[in-house]
Amino acid sequence: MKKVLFVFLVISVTGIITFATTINFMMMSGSGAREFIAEAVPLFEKETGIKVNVEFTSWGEGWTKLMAMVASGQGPDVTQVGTTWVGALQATKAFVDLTDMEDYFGGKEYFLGGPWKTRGYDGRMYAVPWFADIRALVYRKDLMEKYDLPNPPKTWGDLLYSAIFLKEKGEIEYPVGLRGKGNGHYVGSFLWQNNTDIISEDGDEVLLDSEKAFESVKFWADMLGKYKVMSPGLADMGHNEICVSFFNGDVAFMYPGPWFVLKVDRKISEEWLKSGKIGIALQPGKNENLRTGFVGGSDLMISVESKNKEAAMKWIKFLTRPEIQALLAEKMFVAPTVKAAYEEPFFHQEPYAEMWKDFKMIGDAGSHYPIHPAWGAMERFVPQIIVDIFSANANDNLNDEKIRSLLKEYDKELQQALDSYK
Amino acid sequence: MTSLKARNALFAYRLLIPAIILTFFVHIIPTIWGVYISFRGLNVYYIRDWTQAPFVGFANYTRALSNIQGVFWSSLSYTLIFVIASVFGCFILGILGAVLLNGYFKGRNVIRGVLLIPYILPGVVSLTNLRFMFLQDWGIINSILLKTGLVSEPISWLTGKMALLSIIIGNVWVRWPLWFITILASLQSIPGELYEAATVDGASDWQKFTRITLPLISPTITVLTVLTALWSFNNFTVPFILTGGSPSKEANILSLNIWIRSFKNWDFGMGAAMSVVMMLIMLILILAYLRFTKLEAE
Repeated sequence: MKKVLFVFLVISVTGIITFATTINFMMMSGSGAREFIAEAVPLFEKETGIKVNVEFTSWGEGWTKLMAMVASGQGPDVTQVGTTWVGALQATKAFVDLTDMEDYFGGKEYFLGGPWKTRGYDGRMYAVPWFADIRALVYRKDLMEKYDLPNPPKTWGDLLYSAIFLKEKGEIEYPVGLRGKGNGHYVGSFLWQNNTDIISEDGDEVLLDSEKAFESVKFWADMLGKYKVMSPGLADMGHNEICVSFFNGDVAFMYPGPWFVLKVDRKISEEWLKSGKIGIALQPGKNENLRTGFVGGSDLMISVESKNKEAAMKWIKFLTRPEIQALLAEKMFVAPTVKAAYEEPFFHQEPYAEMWKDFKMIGDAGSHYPIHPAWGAMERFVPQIIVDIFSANANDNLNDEKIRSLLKEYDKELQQALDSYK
Repeated sequence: MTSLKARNALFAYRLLIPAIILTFFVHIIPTIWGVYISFRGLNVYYIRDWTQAPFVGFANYTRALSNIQGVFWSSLSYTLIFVIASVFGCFILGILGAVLLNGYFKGRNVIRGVLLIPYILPGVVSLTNLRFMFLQDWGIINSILLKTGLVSEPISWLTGKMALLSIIIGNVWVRWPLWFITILASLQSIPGELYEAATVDGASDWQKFTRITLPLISPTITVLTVLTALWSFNNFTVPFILTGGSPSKEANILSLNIWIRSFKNWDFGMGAAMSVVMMLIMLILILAYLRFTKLEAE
């Protein structure tokens, strides 16, 4: 009995000494997330002696869990957050202001320009950029070469012409794959590609009830309703289904991030890359000079209630080291936010070297939704307008009048949300 | 005797105390808190400290009831259609199932067990399966309809006007077994002599059904109707699972609408105001029902 107690005492004390500090980290599930954590956490624990407990949650639940965390004051020390959430979360004052720690995390020159802008509003830093979700035009390069179509399509006209051509040739019935379910960031993209935005630069006015916004929404709505180069079945599809459809030969143009290669067996995606079937380019704009796409991703924030802020900052600094960013890219196929990471050997390995070069170039020309406290409330507009457009199409009343009326209504509603945060 | 009565009553009250305490903390306090929030401008700025949220009077109610696109009112009308159609669907299927299974035949017990499966399975499982069946391009329902030539193009079950029918089907699917098993139990308690006497008097099957069966099972049907209506009115699971939380207008019934306002928009004040209005509507319906049954009894 004494021996048992002695052994128990030794184990307990060893445990206490070995992991004197424990931090909790909430991460969104995604392809490769668990594999990344399985490698990264032991490295960090060995290096620092700080234990990391990781809780996975889905993107859908993550927003709700964050709200519960803010309301209750109970939650993880470090949280992964979507870049579009940073403004709203900063406004809650439930997260640590890291402005004075900018240099500790590397500072402006350490990170890519686009992701750096997502760190907070009013010049403050509440979030550290972690990885970039760069949305590109991924397309069937082989078909464009076969039929001598614009390669890549650089304008909306190029995209539409190519899609109609492929449809009429009998090659693919519905060549364009844009998600009809969930948060389709292409809604913002089409606005930026027409040199407009959702809210004005001064953050005071919603711009949806405008001719440019109408043109933007009409363009992709017409691909669905008028030209029928988008399947009505996309209403039920998210990125997973669209990427699978792409590799099944049922879609020729889609707007995913680099993670699209993980949606099917890696052998298939690698084979397609090697054989030149896949083209990756900046999304087309209304004209060539307006080409851009959504560059989002994830940032890391520290809870103001955390009792281990120093350990939390060490964990974040670890996650933004170039070699760890490369590990993250290897497992999850997301783009690093750290410039130096792109020098890591992983990004020069075939058959992905060209792909990463393309995504990095695209990331530099990307755009993002406003980092604004009201954006959390306004972001619902994005999936809702997608649903409304697909619904109108299903109800056979998708026309210009319907689009204008939807945009007018959303303009009013979002203006109300924006005004409530002044 | 009085002392014994008092002791029995005290014993009964003691047994009720845990339920009362639970109801107080799970229902009463949140309801009062919800009413309080409905008069506050509670958004992301005030989540950490709700008491700092400004008092806005009836502004949340005004916004909710005169909402853009008339969302509240269209949501309410779709909710009422959802409730009425669900009750009707459960009634028809429940009666049919119970009457068919009332008589003995080989394999009856097996069939009865199979028909209970949608009720026994967790709702998320049944409804997720149903969602896959409804998928426009990949779902089995469209596949069968197209292959049999019943439709020439795939139907958009989960988007647009068909979305309301889909959530009604989903709700009936998970609820109708309760109707059938309860009505079956009720049928089996009807004395057989009544039917024998009716047969002797020359009554047809339809007359036996309408003059004997229906009147005797009507108390059961009444209870099932009230319960199904209440459960359907504030049902969240069915539309959420089938639409993925992003419903088209036709499937955006009140419960889901309130959730979206509160937990997606972080507009808790308005979500609370809509909840209070929903509660008042249900209260009016229940009071009307109680008054109607009281008059009927008198």
